[in-house]
Amino acid sequence: MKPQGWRRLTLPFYAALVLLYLFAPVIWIVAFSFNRQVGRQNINWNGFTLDAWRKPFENAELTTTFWASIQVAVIASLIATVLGSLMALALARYRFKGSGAINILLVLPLTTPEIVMGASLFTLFFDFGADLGFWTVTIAHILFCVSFVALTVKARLRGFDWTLEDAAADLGCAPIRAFWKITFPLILPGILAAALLSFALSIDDYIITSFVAGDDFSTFPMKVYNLAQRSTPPQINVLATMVLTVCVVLLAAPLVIRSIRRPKVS
Amino acid sequence: MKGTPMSDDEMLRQAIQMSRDLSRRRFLRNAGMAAGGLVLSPALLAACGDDTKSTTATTNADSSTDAVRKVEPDTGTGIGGKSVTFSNWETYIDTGENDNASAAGTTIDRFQKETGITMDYKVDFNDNDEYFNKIFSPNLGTGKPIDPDVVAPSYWMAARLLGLGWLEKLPMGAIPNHKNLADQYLNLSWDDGAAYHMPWQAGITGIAYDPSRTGFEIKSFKDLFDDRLEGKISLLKEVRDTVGCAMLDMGKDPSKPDLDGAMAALDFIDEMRGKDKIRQFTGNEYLQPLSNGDVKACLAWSGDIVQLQRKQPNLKFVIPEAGSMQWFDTMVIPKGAKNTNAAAQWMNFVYDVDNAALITEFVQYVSPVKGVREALEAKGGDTALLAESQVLFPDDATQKRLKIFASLPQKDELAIQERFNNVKGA
Amino acid sequence: MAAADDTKSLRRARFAPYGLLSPGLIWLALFFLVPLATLIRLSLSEKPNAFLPEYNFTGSTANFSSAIGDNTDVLGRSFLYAAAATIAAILIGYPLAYFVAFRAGKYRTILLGLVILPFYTSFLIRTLAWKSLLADEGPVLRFLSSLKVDSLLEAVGVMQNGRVLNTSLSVIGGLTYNFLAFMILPIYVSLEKIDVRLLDAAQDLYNSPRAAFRRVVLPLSMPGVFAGTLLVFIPAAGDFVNAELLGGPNNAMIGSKVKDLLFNQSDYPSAAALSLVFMVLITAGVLLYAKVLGTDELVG
Repeated sequence: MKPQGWRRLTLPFYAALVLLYLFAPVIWIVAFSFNRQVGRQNINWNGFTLDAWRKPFENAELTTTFWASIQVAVIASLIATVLGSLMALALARYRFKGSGAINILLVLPLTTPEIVMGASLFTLFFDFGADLGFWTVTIAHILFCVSFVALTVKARLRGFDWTLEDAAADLGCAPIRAFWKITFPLILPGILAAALLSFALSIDDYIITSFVAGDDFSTFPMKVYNLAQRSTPPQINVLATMVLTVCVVLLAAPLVIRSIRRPKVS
Repeated sequence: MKGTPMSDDEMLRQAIQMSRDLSRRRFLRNAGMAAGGLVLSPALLAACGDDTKSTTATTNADSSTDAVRKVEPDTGTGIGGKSVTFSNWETYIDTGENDNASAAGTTIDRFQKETGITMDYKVDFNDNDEYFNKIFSPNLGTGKPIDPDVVAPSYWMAARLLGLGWLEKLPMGAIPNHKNLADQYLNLSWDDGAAYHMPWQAGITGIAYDPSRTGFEIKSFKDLFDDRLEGKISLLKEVRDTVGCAMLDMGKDPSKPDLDGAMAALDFIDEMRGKDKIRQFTGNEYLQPLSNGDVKACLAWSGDIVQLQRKQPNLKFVIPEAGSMQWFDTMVIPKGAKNTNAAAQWMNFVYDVDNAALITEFVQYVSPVKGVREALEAKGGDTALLAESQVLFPDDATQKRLKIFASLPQKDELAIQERFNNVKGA
Repeated sequence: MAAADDTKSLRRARFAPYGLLSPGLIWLALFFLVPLATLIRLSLSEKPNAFLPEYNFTGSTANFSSAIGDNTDVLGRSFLYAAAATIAAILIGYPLAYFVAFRAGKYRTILLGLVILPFYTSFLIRTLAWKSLLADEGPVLRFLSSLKVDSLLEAVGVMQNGRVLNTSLSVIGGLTYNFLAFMILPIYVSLEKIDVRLLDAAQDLYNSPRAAFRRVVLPLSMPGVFAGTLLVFIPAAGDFVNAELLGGPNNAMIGSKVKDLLFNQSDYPSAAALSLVFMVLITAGVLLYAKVLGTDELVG
């Protein structure tokens, strides 16, 4: 569907606008990491400086929580992606009793206001005398990510051509092998998208985390939230920019590698 | 000294001194020292604040928060003296390198060296109600102790905790410096003699505005609702500060329990909200709109305004004629704490005048310790400027106009809170 | 000609689906259903002393009636804002998803990465950034007034007294922005698997790109739109950070009410009741939406 003439440009132009919209605050955040901050809040531009960048880890607590958040996010999104994808697979592929109820069950955690989810998880952990900290936070994150993953992957699997696996089976392929070699690569993009989403959700969560983190454990959003009550050091912007840069690199890497390996086909 | 070779020791000593000076000076500069911290001298405050000496136990039977608590002080020295855990608010103590509160040269560092006690300083106290519901109530409410030995809730939360019986008496035997506590804190209705708490820092709620933006001078709470401001004002989310200021403006006295007065004030605020005359109810986030003009005037807290004035010298901080609210955060020992002795020693340490002066110099809030202003003056230089701060050092007459919100029976407190919640978030 | 008819290959396997489901189910049962049961019990209890964690189970639904009675306005407003944000997200996100799926070629991955990249910064910082960007004298408004559009916007009601912040629009804008990726990604995912040859065939058949889109692409992308709607509408309705940071006192959302009940008033039973009311309403809404849309997503 390729419109001709100037119409070709409307969609790309629109896409560019949307991307600009998405990035507007990000640009602001990156820009203000270079701000010469006066006072406790980083809100007025006072001139360019690399000070904050020279000492990005100056605020020790900010840095600790930063790494803590990353750790939680990696583990939580990994486990949630596995659990959620398995569920999506089961729901999309098989017809079985109880699938309706399970569908609703998947949606329910999403309908629960975060604040209530946080409070009820807190009550659960507290009643069981669990030690609030890294693992309770990770458990909570896995919980709300599973639903996201399952729904996203399910949408991907809708209408998937399962006959491919049948064909493989006819050709004598064991079912699990058929799954790995045929289905899995095809649904991998959907799973990865869900994993990315999970990671973003986890790294950003504040409300639920603040309930189940306990006294000693703190994540980056928690620290930022608390700090923002009194003061916002530019290191917040610096660390945020660093995360962005790492993600950019991670995204660009496979493409760069691919273009190096394969000679360009004109 | 350029060009003169120095010994390594000498250089090291100078470097340490320089970095201490620099970090202090940098903070002062950054935080707008021109109008820095305020020290309320005891005599001035004796007349103001919570003058509930005359208030005896009210008749409400369903709460114990309003009974006069004149208790026999605990003259013992407490238990556990090797380590102490202190939960405090964010940016409320001096820090050294890497914004570390326990870095070399800081109050905590010196405390640890002088007493041999290890301190675990946590900045996880960022909201009274949250902390109450997440930590105090589930634990202390079921007889379980909590982790910190010292916490620094706001005054009203301390009153509530005491009323619930969740605080340990301070082991006075280990706090000789208790005598340095400013007099006004010694006759609060909920803890006569301050046997259960020692204030950490105090502050004032006032009206902050930029005359160049408002076009006229703001003198009272009602002025905030002047049509010329077009509703570009904000009030505070903290119920006692906002309702208190409104009550004062109506001629009522918030330092005495007055449910009807509070409700009348809330009616007024609700009316203004309905007329779109209040832009937002804020915590500390008024700083941003105030500095970029989204908000032309607002209720604000003294410590914050100080450093904002550095960037905006036009900014004024006003305590209305009718009066304004004073608040303080105070150190308490939760019931069942394991290191009451170490906690007491910490309190004693920070009530030493010089130590208190250092903290005030850094955080620039109001010190509850007698003699801090003089100590700051004596240091001279930039530091002495703090002691002379005009904006945050109101004169005697103004002192009389500052009130601390009364401690009400639980039922009334909750009724006010509920009504306020409905007003600020319709 | 939609995707392959999958009923043929849907197996009526007995154990396989349950095997796949069990890890996730156990997790949900343990960490969601159990707390949910506690919540329900709490909503039917009373708390005699607000400050003490003691509850008496009374089985009375008084909390529910007061929850609904006191909060009808806020509930309505929350759903309204969430709906507006969802529609906005679809309008903004669908074309972008379409572009990335069909016209981006080898830049697909990069663009996807770009879409989700902003969401790796803390939402708090991003929302605070919007506060700066949308300030009365900030870049956006200055730009708009230089275009002389501001009076038009005021007439339409988008701006209020020369400002955008602390209005319902800024809250909706914040919500849309915060959840946009959750709309774009699912739509992309369902668009991406549409066979390109299908499109070509459709265009040949209908002789018009718009018809081809309407009859082929749009229906095929519905699962994605549906998933996206769920992922945006539901969390948006329960959000309160956007309302608190970007909104005014007349823009409060249900999340703030629950928070106030929980923290300021320590009234857990009421908070529980209100949350359950909210959850029921949302689930009902979602089921209705599924029916209207004609998908059997939830039930199939």
